[in-house]
Amino acid sequence: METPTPERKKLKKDKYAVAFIISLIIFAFGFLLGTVLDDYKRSYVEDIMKQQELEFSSLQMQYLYLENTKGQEKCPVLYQILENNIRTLGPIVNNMLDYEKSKGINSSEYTSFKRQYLLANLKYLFLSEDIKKTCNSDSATVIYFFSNDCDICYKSQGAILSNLKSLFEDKLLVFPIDSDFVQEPMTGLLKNKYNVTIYPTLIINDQKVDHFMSRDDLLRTICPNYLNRENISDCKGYY
Amino acid sequence: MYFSDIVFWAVYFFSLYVSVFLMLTFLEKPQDFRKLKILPSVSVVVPAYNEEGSIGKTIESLMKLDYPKDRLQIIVVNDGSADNTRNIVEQFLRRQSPFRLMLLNQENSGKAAALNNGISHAEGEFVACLDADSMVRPDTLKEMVGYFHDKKVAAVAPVMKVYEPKTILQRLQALEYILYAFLKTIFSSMDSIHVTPGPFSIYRKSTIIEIGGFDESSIVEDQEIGYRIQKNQYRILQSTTGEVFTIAPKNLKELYNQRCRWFKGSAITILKYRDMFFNRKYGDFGMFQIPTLVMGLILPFVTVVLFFKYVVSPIIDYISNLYLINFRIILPKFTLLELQTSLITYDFAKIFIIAAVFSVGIFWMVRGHKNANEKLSFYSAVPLLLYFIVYYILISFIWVGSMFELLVLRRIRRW
Repeated sequence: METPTPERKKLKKDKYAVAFIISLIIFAFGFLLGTVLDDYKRSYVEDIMKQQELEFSSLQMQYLYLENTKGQEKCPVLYQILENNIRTLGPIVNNMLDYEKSKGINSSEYTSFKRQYLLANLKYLFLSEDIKKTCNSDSATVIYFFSNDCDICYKSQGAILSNLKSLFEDKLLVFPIDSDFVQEPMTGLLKNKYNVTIYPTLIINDQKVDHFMSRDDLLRTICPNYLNRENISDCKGYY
Repeated sequence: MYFSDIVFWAVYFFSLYVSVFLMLTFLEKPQDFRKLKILPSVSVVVPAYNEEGSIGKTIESLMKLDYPKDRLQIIVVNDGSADNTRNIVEQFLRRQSPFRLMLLNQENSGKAAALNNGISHAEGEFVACLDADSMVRPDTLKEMVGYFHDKKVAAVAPVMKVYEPKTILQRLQALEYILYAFLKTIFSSMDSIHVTPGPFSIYRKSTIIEIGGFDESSIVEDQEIGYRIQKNQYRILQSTTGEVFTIAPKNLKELYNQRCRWFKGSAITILKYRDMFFNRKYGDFGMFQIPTLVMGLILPFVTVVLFFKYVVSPIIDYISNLYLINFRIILPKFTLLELQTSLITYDFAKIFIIAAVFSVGIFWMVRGHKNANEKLSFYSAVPLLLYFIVYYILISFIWVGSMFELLVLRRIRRW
């Protein structure tokens, strides 16, 4: 049986093209917005980094200046300066590093930025040791060596350390060291100094632990270091 | 760029294109609809298999139809029901009424066979098929027949609504139906409707017989006939005012069974009519609708993968971290500078897209409600849309189940 094939509505090719162009414009706009904001973000972060460098030079100047003042009077001031720097610098730079990482960028810019951060961190570390000697400060220091190949570092050890950091605030100084960052010779020097081969490795006030530490383990190691431990409620039962 | 990013951008561009295309179509002049001076004769076929709970209501709703009684015939096809269906219909037959009501009893052989049986006894120029779990409004039939003014129109689809939605799942489906009804008016103006749903679609009897009636081997005969009408270059139009109310699945199990059948049927039907894919001969149906439907079969998979990557795995990490710190959460003290710098970790391009997709969603929602004559305040649109995202993820998981059944278990039918 022959059936008459009715004509179908004509295909509007224009509409397909127009829809494509409009989509492309919206798409490009979104992309452009992202790129512009990325540029803005980058310059913003560079500003902050410069600011931080300035802060650090200032800190050193203050330190030199305070050398001349007598004994322990300088300690509270110094300690405050150090803590303020670490507290602001850490999270800010981490945000920046996370951002660069999420973009999959591994440029020289990123490397030098990371290097500056590591060096700044080390400067703070040495200063903190100095302060501890001069001032008898009641604080604990954790140097935390991690590696990209170590899953437990990122997911677990890091989270526990941040939690304790929030708990003890200025009584606990945590210095994370990325062991894969060989572009900076200081990484190697520190690894040699503490003979680090396994990750995570934690140096808690010169005591080396080369395995994952649970929250309780850490509290048991950190708390006995505090002179004033009886008065720290979070340390109850851990010394 | 990670692979997931590329997928994200591709899915986004595709969705954007589809939205823009539909929006352009929406802005074109609406389809023509004429009130007919002389109403044609119509036979309503009601296939029923174990429907004792709702068949009475369905027949009563048909008897209340505002339509000349001499031009209306009701044929109930009892598809070998084991329950009281037959007795209930026979009670109606015994009553004195101006209706031409007919009961056909057949051995259980499926809905499509029941429909074909009914059509072979139909005296009307048009045949309306009504699932026994659905109810029509008195004006529905009158509103719908006007679309048949063009000889090429083979079928007219109704505005489907959920009958008295009670559970949250039924309410979400009610929302889904409202949105879909609106989309279908756009598909209709592109001659691209692919399904004439079981609840009260009306067909031109001669055309349906000409193209071979309902396919008795298909699990989604209402989709299959839609594709076949398009394939034969006839038209399907979407009514904007002819409303029909259907009982929606009330719990997850029922919803799973229903959607599983739809998904599997959809995949099988697309495969059967694959020669129409990107085929210019079939106009927008071939060039736009089928490719979109194919993407619709792929998108749930992407949704499930993205859901695991961006929702499930962060939640698992978060909970395991909570466990590691003995659930002693200490909120860090944020400085202003820190809050500012935390902004740099957000990806603004993606946020822009999500905002764009969201606003399109709000537009559909508002427009869809207007189209369906349902009330919606602008402020309730946002929470509704959020619920709807959860619902969409749920449907995506059902999709995974159905594809598993189809491709791995090779199970097509499940009753």
